[in-house]
Amino acid sequence: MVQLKNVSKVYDNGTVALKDISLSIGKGEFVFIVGASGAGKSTFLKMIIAEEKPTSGEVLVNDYSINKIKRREIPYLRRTMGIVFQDFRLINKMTVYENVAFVMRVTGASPKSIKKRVPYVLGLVGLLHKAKCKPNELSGGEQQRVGLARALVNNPSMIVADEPTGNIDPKLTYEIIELLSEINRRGTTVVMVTHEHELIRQFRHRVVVIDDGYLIADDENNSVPDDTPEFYDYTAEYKYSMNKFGPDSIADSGKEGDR
Amino acid sequence: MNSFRYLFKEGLKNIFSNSLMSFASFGVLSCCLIMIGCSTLFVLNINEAFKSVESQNVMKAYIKSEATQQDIDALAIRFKEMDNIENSVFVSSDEALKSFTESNDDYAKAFESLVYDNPLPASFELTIKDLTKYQTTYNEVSGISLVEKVSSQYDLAQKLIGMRRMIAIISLWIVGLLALVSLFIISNMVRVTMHSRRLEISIMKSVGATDSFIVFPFMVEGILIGLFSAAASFFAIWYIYYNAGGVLMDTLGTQVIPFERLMVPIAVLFAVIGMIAGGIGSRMSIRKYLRSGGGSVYDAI
Repeated sequence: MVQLKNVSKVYDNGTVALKDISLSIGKGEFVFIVGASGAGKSTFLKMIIAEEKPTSGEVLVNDYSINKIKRREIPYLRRTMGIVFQDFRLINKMTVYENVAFVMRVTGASPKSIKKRVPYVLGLVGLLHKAKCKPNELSGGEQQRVGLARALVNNPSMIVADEPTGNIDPKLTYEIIELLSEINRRGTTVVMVTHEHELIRQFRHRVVVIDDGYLIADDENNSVPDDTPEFYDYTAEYKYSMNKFGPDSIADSGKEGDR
Repeated sequence: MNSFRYLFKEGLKNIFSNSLMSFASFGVLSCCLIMIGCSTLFVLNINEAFKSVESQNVMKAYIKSEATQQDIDALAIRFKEMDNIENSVFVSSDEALKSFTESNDDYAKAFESLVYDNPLPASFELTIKDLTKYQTTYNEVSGISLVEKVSSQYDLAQKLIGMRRMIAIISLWIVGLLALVSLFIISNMVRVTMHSRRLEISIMKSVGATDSFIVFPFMVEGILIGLFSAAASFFAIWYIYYNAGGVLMDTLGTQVIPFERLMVPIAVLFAVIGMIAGGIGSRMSIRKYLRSGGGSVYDAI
């Protein structure tokens, strides 16, 4: 699904966003990408969706080489994934139904299949009764569920979620992650960027920690103890472990033994 | 086909959702088209006026007075057989005098006595097929023994042709420049509308829309605005031309070409320029925007 081999990214202004990252995400996995602001999470996501190319190393996503991908191929890569944004990114002049149907139209789906699929997906996220509402008539949680429905409607093999709970009520956050977990249980790969450490403690999925451009941990078993306090800082903990035992001790717990 | 219908509808919808911008584009484009129309109609009329002078690709072969009717008949046959002569008309000396008297009506009385001693020779008016071979034909006709003299307005006609060409070239430049101005204006207007639709474009790109899918509604919008402007300008120019024609007739007694005769070419010209300016203008901006990295997924954050 996603493979990064010794990937580094240096922007034109000299900012080094990623440093020699190697990582592999397999089909059907649920991965949290964690890190502080400016750690390199966004650059990592941008590479997955072919918005940025690596300066060195190799990135493979759904059989597309991001290093070699042509401009005209990018739309087809993006159709293999669904993207969920922190700020929902819904078109306010369209209804909930139209916002979701729009994605199918982009891929040239027939009106018949749109009529069949959109209500199904809206039902899946529990919003069928709000199909005719405009996004600004919905709560943040509901808007994000529309975002999820939109990401799901083309039946992608992977969902890329960029801090999907960042703009919603904490109570509704769990609802969204529950939905993503359910989608994952049905076989869709989920890559979710977050800095909400509480979520990672609650949902036991693989955790990849990026700090200052480095992949400092890839913890497949999410080995943080259950009794860690609320607002537990994952990055700080891994950094602490790394200083204590050296980087290898953390990488050993990673799926591919990266770094 | 489904996509085409959807994208066409989107383009149409966009016209009304950005009504202010659409109206501004429509107004500016219409003004340009009206100017283009005025310039075209001016040239067409000048052309028409010059055509009558240019039709003087006629040379006059004056016949010697001793020529008999038989000689004249033989000459008529000879001219008919010449390759570069389209048509030959015999003008007898009586007819020449009559025509001369009529064209100088004020002095008609003074010419009355000439009827008895007509000094005007008979002639053949020869219409030339190919002006480039004018000189050869001229020499050939001059060489005929019964031809006294050959006169022509060739030089004047050539000068007029040159002038007409120059006016045509200048007006073509004006039309071209105005068309370019229209294109530029539309392309800038689209850039403004595009800015207000940045989020939409970015969402489209994030869900896998191809560039063509994004560009198409903008082009439809541009082409439709172009066509609406063409229609409005057509009626405006009709009104202007009709009234200007009336004024010219009243003041100078000059008759302009009836608009009915020019309707179709003007309509086609407006439609083509409107569609090209609208379609290409919008395509240019949006393509440029997309190629320079606009509409990237994280662009509108």
